[in-house]
Amino acid sequence: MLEIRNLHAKVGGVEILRGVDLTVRAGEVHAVMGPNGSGKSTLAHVLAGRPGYEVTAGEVIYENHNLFDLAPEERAQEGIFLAFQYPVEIPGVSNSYFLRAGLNAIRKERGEPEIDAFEFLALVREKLKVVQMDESFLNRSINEGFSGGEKKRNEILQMAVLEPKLAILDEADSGLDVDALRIVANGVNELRREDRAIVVVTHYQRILNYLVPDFTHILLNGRIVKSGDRELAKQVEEHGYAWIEKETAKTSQAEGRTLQA
Amino acid sequence: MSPVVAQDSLIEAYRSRRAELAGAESGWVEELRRQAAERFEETGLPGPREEVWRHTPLDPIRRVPFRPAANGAATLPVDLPERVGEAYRVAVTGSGILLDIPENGLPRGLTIGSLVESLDRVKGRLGQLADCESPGITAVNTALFDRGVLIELAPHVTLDRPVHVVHHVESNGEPRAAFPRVVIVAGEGSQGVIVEHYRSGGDSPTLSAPVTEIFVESNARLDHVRLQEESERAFHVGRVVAEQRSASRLRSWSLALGSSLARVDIETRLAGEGAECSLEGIFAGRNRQHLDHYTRIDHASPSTSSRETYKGILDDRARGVFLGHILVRPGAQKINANQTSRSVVLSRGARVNMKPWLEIYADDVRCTHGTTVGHLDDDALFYLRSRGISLAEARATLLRGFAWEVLKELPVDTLRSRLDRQMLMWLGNGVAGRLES
Amino acid sequence: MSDSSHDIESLANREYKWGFVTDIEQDTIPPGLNEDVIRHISAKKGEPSWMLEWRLKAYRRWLEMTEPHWPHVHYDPIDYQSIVYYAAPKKQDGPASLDEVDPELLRTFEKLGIPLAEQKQLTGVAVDAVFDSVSVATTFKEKLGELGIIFCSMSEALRDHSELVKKYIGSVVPYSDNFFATLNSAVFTDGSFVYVPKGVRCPMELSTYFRINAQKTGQFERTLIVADEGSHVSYLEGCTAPMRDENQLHAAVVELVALENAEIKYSTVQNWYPGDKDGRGGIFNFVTKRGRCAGRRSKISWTQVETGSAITWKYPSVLLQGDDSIGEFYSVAVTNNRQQADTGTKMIHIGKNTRSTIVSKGISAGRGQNTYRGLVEVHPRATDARNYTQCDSLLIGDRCGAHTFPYIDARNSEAVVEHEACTSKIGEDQLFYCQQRGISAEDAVSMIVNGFCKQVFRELPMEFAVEAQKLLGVTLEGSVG
Repeated sequence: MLEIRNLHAKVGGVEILRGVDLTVRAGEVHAVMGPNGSGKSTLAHVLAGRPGYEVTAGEVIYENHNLFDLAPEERAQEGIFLAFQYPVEIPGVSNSYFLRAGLNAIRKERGEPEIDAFEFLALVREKLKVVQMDESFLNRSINEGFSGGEKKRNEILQMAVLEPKLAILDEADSGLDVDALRIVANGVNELRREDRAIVVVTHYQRILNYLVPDFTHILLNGRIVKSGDRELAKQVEEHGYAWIEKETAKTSQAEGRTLQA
Repeated sequence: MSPVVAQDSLIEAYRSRRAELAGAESGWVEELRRQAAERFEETGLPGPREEVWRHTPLDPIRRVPFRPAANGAATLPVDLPERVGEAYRVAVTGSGILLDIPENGLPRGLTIGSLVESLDRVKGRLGQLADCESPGITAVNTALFDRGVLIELAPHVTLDRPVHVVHHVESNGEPRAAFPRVVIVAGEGSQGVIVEHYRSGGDSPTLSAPVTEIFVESNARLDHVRLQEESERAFHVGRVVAEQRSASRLRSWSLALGSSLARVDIETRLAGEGAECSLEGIFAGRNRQHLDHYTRIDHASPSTSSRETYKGILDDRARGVFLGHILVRPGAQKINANQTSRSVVLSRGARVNMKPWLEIYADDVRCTHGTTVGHLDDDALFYLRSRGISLAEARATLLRGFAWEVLKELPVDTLRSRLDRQMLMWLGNGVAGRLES
Repeated sequence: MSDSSHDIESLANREYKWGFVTDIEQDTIPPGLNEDVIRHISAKKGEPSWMLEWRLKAYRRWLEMTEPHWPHVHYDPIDYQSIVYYAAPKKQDGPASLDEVDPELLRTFEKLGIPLAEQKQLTGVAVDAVFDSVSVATTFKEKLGELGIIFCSMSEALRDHSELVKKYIGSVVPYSDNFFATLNSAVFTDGSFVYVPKGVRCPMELSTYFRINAQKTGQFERTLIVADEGSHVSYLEGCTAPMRDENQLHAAVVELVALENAEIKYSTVQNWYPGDKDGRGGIFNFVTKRGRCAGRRSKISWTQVETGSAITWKYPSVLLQGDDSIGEFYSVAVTNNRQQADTGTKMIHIGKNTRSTIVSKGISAGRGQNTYRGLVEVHPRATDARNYTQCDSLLIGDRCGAHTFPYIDARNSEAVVEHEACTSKIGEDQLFYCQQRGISAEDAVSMIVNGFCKQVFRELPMEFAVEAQKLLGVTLEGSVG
């Protein structure tokens, strides 16, 4: 579904991603972990096409498309969903209007008819249960005055409504207490499907206790330096990132020697 | 027709003295003065037709035949105010400046000189920021300045204590006007605090019309405090104009407490990237005082930021005016500007005019401003009284808190606590006075 | 600059779709202004002699006045002698019924979405249609008449309700008020008159639709609304003009009088031709609008959506004379391309315990210049007066300007005046967030802008709110892509 090859990217002139390789297939859940500044969020934003993130080398193939040919909204219409670490507030625009506008844009792309307000309400009511949200959320301005937990749940609600093929969750657990974390993680679990891939970008592994990944990758200094299964995440939980940093340092030194030799 | 007595008298003074005025022998000063005098003759004192002078008629000044203050003896005024924070103190008089500094002299990198004797040093600076075109008193000051001080901080110097400049004008028997001129240069990367302190005395009306030009070079950090405590017989019309180079910071406080009619212009031009300024002020008037502030922040470069807080307290029949102009020029992107102005009106006869004025020609900006005019919070008053505090004291306490927001960051501890005490007394007296009546 | 803000910059311009010209035989007088022209206008309308005297008084005063130039707008001098002061579709007398109205005119208004024909009339809205200098039709007149409500053209009012008009005209905006109001007082040609009697709640929206059609004409209408004690009325005005290369002057006067316990809600959706994208042509919209809360507990509320005109210059104001009276001003002003707007309000608190609310939303795009100018004045007697003002500006593109000049003049120690303002651009993060949910940049901008204006739109009657949102979209097209 998603193939990232040797991806390099700059933000504000600084190279953040320095050769990321990653393959994600339908039905899989991948965790991308790394310390602050390793490039996790950058990777998420580059995939979603955020302006200001400059791809300098490499390619990303998504569903047989060159991803970089697509505008951000086209990527969304093709089924890429990014759950934002910091969901944006838009005063005066109701959540439900926003959701319906997004859904209809995506449906149009899929060749489906636009959904009317009544059908939409029925649909969204179902989805609200996934994240245990009240219907009143729909009439509030997008994220305005929402608590941290409400914002994150709102992201998952959007994911549930838009039914993406590839969902990227950027620090979906940051700032959540245990209860809210469980709601968010369970919400995502309910959305796991054979034809849907999920990439969880996170600093801590605690969300992975609820949302068990098939693969775990460690991102350090803009590259994936180690991949494994969920056990790798647990090792990070116990020992932090330092041991991996050391290990990679040795490897690269060794590589250096090899090259010199 | 509005009276032109003051104007005629001052123009006459220029004509009769032009040969004796400082710098008369050096061509550029003479020319600067001549052009300024022409300009003043043409425009006179600003009138209510000028938008920024609308609420402050200068007729009380126009009616008085002011003459420039005579050159007095070079002695410190007898009631020289308390030194702020062990400061290097300098008194500006009609015949030069008097330094009051420790025996071991000024620290390296700090120059304090009499402006009229240092004109060669300020060529290319004097009159560069304070133009005579804009309506105000710059023209008459430039034509007639007879006293003043030059303060220079060499690059990378950090002053160990503030510089305290005392401007004193005295008039006995006949109305006198003083035209002090101040040039401050904060060299690259320098840091310092300068307090300009205006006082007046004598039994006759005085007019102070000072102009201060401040050059804040790259990475310099300058704090400028302007304390105006002139007598009730005084008129005060002053102007401060600054220009800030990249990554510099200017913090300005203007505290207008004295004089019967006072107007102060504080202007800064953020001319280099990353420059920032903070302008704060208090105007506290009672009786029939009229206190006006005009501020202008000119975001002329990208990535500049400004913060502004002005507070007014008006009692009796006093009138306060605040006009805060923020300009964001085309191409000056990534601008942050934040302005707050608040006034409390304590009595029926008092009046306040507030006008925030935002002019924005770039889009990547975040400018906010808030203005309130109100009275003391009834709930807070009640809360204090329910704890046994008298009404008068409760009001004074709340007003002190109101003023404290501006005072709290004043860079000189002794000055801050003195002003805080003074505000409390001022407010206490004012409140008590009205409660009795 | 990032892609998204670049996107915002480059949206293509949609045509002004109301720019057609109606081909109809016109009764016009030659351009130019003098006392004879005024006598001519007055005679054409068969006015009472006091009206003519008043007009002439205004004209003589106007000759002594100079055109003001304090607003933040720039335009070439207006030649008042080249303007046609009277243009009307040719007909005998005022139409007795719709059957007598020229079908071409009916078609014109239908095209504008204002059907006048009996069977197609908008339900719940009574319309007075003004074409150039005169009113061509007023709907639902009889039905309103049953309740004692007078809703007719100003010309008719001067004939049939002369005493009422005489009592109130100029009582809020005196003939000598300002340059453009004085000119209007001398030459006004038509407009609407509304009188709602004591205790009557007007059962439908009253609406006037203004259309400038003829070339080189100025439009000078005068509207007067009087709400007697305890009455209630909601009034809407809309306007359009053909696309022409020269600027046309629209200098209207609107006076509102609310007596004790009365309420007037006045909504405007202003969509005069704004000129082309290089600033050629367009209407100069120099209008004086003022309401007087004359009685206790009266209320006047202005809502305006200003999307058209080359230059808009107006300050719908409220004189809060009656104790406990309320004034409101809700405004959206959009300037795109070379449009300029200098608009705002004056809230003059005279009575005790008076309240005012000001919500102003300015949107600047292209090279548009948008100025909010407001005055909140609290007189010494206005104890416990309260004002709350919020004025926000949104900038789209780096060549536009947003300016804010709020004045506060407070002379009462028991008053509270609060003003908040914020100027910013559409957040790139907001835009990206919408795009990430599949919404195009253009739709996202329109969504964000509508959200920004919501506080004002919700004050508009339903049908107009929808219309206003659409207009906003059209006006801003060309600023996003």
